[in-house]
Order: sequence, then structure tokens, then C-alpha cells
Amino acid sequence: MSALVIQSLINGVLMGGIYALYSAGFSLIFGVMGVVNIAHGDLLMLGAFLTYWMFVGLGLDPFLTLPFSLLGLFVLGYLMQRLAIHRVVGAPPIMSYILTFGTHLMISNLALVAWTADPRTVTTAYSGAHLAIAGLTVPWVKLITFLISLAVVGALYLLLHHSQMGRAIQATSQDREMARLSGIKVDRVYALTFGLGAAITGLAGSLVVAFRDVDPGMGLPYTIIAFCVVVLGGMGYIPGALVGGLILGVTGSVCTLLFTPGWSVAITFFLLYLMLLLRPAGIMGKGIVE
Amino acid sequence: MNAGGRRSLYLGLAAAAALAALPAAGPAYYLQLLTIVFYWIGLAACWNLMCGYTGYIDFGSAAYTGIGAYVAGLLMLRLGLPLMAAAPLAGLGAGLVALAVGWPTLRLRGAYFAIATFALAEALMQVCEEWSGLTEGGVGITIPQRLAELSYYWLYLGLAGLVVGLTWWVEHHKHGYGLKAIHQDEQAAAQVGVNTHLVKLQTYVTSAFFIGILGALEGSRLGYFKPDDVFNVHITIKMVIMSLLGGMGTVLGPVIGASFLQLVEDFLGARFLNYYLVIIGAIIVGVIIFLPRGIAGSLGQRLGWRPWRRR
Repeated sequence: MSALVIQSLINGVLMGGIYALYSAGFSLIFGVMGVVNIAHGDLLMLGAFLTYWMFVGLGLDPFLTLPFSLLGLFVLGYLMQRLAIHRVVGAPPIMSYILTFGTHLMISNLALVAWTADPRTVTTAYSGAHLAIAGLTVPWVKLITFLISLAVVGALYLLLHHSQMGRAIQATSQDREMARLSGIKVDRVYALTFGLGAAITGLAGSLVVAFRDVDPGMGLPYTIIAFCVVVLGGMGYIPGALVGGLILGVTGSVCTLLFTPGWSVAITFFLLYLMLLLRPAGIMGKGIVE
Repeated sequence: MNAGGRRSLYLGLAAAAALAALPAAGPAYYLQLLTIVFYWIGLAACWNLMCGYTGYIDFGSAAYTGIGAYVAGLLMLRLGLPLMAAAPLAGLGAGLVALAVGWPTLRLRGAYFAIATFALAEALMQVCEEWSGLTEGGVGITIPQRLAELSYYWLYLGLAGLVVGLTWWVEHHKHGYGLKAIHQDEQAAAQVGVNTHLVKLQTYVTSAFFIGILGALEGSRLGYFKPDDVFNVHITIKMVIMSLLGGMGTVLGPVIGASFLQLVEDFLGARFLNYYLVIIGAIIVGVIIFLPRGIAGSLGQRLGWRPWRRR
């Protein structure tokens, strides 16, 4: 029994890495632009399908598709921002909810028409290989996705704090007008930020195929998880996504073991509710509270 | 109340009376279409009453149609209550949940309220799916009582009229000034003596109460539903878009928006079944991108919105 619990803790932590990764993108976009991106999970779905099709069509190893989903989703995100999202930056929040919800409807239903609702799996020759310690198993693939997730969240943090572009993004999120006066091209920063957020979300999509099958409707639940992760960790605070992601991953996994997956969603919401009640700025208290 | 206000009241009452008398003349297909239009006017008006006036965006109103449908459905199924007793109780249930959700979240401005309500609807749907001992889970429930088709026509017309009338009353009453003040500047509103939290909570609970009743009636009209039918996020989004199309924070906005969208949907849904949601998505995106001031324009000027500038 206890081995079962420890095993599900391990699974939760591994999944938590992915949650942290794409929620960091969600948090970044919210922190900089004040846009709640309801189509966020659909970007993850597109990343997952990109990996699936490259794996099936070209026989490319899923890990080798990572650069493609990173780049592909960056371009998509950049264009999305330039063509649509920039219209709602600074508008009342409802505008961005509705716009991104419309985007969600378009992406997920086009994907449904194009690829049907059939779930698809990516199974490689090494999918079953795992590390076995003391009766516990850790699949290599999941361990590697976890390490990649951590590395990318870390890289994002470094990029934001120790690069010219990162400083421009931070400055813009703190005070748009002052940033503009200092010579920062604010519009380009917004597009870059959205592209960056989309890119790491696409990456998370490519990694998530190690955990589950892929279907066009998978996106929306991930958006909801991202909400919970960033509320736990603090809206707009990137390291918070890591904390929130791990907590949510573990909670989800343990609840699934003890109850059913459906209950784990309900319990996740209850957690979110408690957080909003007690600590709206996140566990570390560093999030944005309006 | 000024003369203009009184005139619009009489006009509204006359329109409602004319619509109530319509079944004597109209063909059945159009009566059914109108029944659904009234249902959506009611829902959109409830959403508008809270969110259009205060600017707090409820992104999970489907939680209350779902609660309404399930509470009433289970009361009829398990306890044998008549629909006319079950529906108000369902409204109370929805109101209580709204109280529990609104109490903490309405203290927080902006995104958090939207996020919490959005997650609430999804979580409640999961609870209904999983708690099959109580709700029959994903199998769905079959409602034993159904009124005559025309009863729904009058009930929905009456409820829609009631909520629109309530909105009209709020618009011309101190309560409404409080709501609008909250929308414009919540701190300033609090300083001039508006009990902002109470006013928001009252409005939110009232709105959820009526959504719950509408959900209960619609559940019995459908006769059979699953959690996915009554907690569906598309129910919420329709209320939002209808209010937005017609003009948020206005008395007649939801009436215009709901009539327009429901008729468009009736037209498109029959012809483009596969691409229907893609088209709706494109309409939403197009409206926000190309007509942000076209829709919110006149309204925006009045409320001091500047959709193109960061606040």
C-alpha cells in the first residue's frame, strides 16, 4: 500500500513538471499583458499533435520533435498576438477572455474536424523502459521529460532576469509607459512574450505524449489546470508555477489513486477555492493581486 | 421616475402582453423557436444583471443551470416533488452555492473571479459525473414530469420579463447606481458609502437564483440530460456573448443579443453542423477584433471604458 502511494507521488511529481512548464507560459502572458489565455491548453494540444504527426509521418523520435514544436508554436503565438491579442491588451479583462475563448473554439473545433476525436498514442521502442528501485518504477521517458521541464522553466527564469530581452519584458510588465519612454518597443515585447509563452506550451505538449494519448479536446482541461497552478504559485510569478505545478501534479495523482480521476478534478477546484479564500497571492505570496 | 422611464416601462409591458397572446395565432415551429429565445433572454439577462453592471465576469454561470437542473431533477425523481415546487428550490440551491462562491471571490478584482467561477462549473460537472450514487453519473437522468410545450413558452416569457424588469428597476434605483459605481471605480464607490461587497453579493445571488430556476425548467423541458449537457461551458459563453453583442450593462442589451444570436444559431446549426462552432468562434474573434467599439462603443463612452487603452 505504501509503495503504491509512493509510486503515485513519484508519478505526480513527474506530471507536475509538465504542469509547471506550460503554466509558466500562462503566468508569463498574464503577468506581462494581463491577458488570461483560455486557448492556452489548445496550444499544448497543437504541440502534442505536431509531435504525433512527425512521429507517425516522418518516423522522428518524439524528443527530436521538441525544437520543431518550440519554434512552430513560437511563430503561431507571435502571430496570434500580432493579429488578434494585441487588440485587447489593456482593454477590460472580459475582452481578452472572450477573444481567447473564441480562439479556443476555433482551434479545438478545427482540430476536431481535421483529426477526428480518436485518441492517438505515441509509442516508441523505449516507451516501456524504466528505472527500478526498491519496487518502485520510474519510466525513463517521464524522468527525462521532467528534467527537460525543470531545465526550461529555469532557462525562462534566467532569460527574464539576466538578458536584455528579459529586462525589456519585465520593464514592460511593470510600467508600459515608462518602458516605452526608455526606448522599448512595447508592441514587439508583447508579441515576443506571447510567442515565448506559446513556445514553452508547445514544448509541454510534445512532452505530454509520454504520459497520455492525444486528442483535439484535450486542451481545455489543461487551461483549467493552469489556472489552478498559477493561483497556487502566484499569478505572474514564474518560480511559483514550479511550486504550483508540483503540488497539483501530486494532488491529482494521489487523488486519482485514492478516488477516481473525476474526483481529483473536483478536489483540485476545492484547493483553488481555498487558496482564493486564504492566500490569493499564492503560497509564497508573490503573485499579482488586483 | 421620469417620463421617459415610465414610457419605456409601458412599452415593455405592452410588448410582453403581445408576446403572451401570440400562441393564439403563431405556427408551432416558431413558437418553439421563441420559447428557446425567451429562455436565452432570461439567462443572458441574469448574467448581464451581475456582470454587465458590475464588470465582474462570471465565466462559470453554467454551474447554476447545472445545479438548477440537477437539484430539481433529483427532487422530482427521488422525492416525487412537483416541478413547480422543485424549480424554486433549485433556484435556492443555486443561490446558496453562489453565496459560498461569491463570498470569498467577489472581494478580489478582475481575473480571479472569472477563474474561480470557470473552474467551479467544470468541477461541479465532474462531481455530477462521479457521484453516480446521487446523480446517476454520466448515464444522465430522465425527468418524470414535463409540462405542455406552451407552458414553457409562457414560463420563459414570464421569467425573462421578470429579470429584464428587475434590471430595469435596478437601473432606476439606488442599487443600480451602486453597481455602476463599482464598475467605474470600486474604491471610490466604497468611500462614498456603497457597501460594495454586500451589493455585489446580493446581485450575484439573485442572478444565480434565476439562472437556477431557468436551468430547472429547461431540464424538465429536455426530459433527459447528462452532466455535460447542463454544466456545459458553452452555456456560459452564450450568455456572455449575447450580453456583449447586445450591450453589457444595459436593460435591453441581453434581449437584443439573445434574440440575434439564437436566431443566427438556429440558421447556422441546421446548415453547417461540423463547422458550426468554428464559425461561432470566428464570429467572436471577429467582433472583438474589428468591432470592439462598434458593440461596446456607445455603452463604452457612457461608462468611461476605453477599450483601446491600458488602464
